[in-house]
Amino acid sequence: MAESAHAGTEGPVYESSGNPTGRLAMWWFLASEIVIFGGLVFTYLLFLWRYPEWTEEAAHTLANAGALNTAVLLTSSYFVVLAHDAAHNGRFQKAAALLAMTVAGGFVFLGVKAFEYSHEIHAGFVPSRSVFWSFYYTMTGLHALHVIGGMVAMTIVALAVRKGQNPQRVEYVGIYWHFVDVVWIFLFPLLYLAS
Amino acid sequence: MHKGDYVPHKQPNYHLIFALLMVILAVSIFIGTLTVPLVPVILIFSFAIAKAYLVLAYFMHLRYQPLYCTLILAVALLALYCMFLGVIPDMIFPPVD
Repeated sequence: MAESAHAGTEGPVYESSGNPTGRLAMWWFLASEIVIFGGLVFTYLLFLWRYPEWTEEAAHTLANAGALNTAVLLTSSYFVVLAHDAAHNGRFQKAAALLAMTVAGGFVFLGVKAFEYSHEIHAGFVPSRSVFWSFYYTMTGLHALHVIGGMVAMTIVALAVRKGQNPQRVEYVGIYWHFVDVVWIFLFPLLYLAS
Repeated sequence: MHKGDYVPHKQPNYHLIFALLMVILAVSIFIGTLTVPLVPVILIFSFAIAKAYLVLAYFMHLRYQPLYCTLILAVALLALYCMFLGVIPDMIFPPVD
């Protein structure tokens, strides 16, 4: 059986893959997510190439709010990796608290996003205004749905790990949350800074 | 341990990685305020790739995973690249009226 730095908290490690099944499943799941978000991003880039005037539309997004949300997601990623470390070391209460802080980061992110949507819709930048704004709402909306999904999963994992149950899931939900962070790392310059 | 298995490793310095990520973000935002054409765009996307690498390698521990985990993600990127190549002609050549 393959040896692991996190042995004892991550479930069985199988000889054939050298990885716990849950973690391996997460990588496959993320590959499918790459196709979903990557398809949108590549299509957006192709349109941006064809219609360079889109950069003028992008100038109407709230770059400061986008920057704040990037900082919030990076900070929440930091919390979740510390939660993983705490769970690995058997400090389950601390892991649960750090997961709760990550969920709080998700709420802040969604609050800022709601403020942005409200501001943009009031200014007339609705999805039907142009293809750019359709892309903007589709990409950020799909991302926000992933944030909500991550918050729900993280709450469930936090409640269990507080009682010492399934600590390996802290890592799995963390991998997902980091991926959501990575997606935003690319959405931020594409939609806010490239103008 | 088999070749390619999960590599036992020392815990990365998460605090340092987080500090680096925030510094790169601050620099990206500053560059975004510059009005020089093209160069800021290249720099901004280079910094985005650097941030994504730090998160993937150290927060997601991809650096310590077996090689096939990276390949799983690479296959997804390859599929996207094929789609990109397939759609490019439609973007280069405008439709004939």
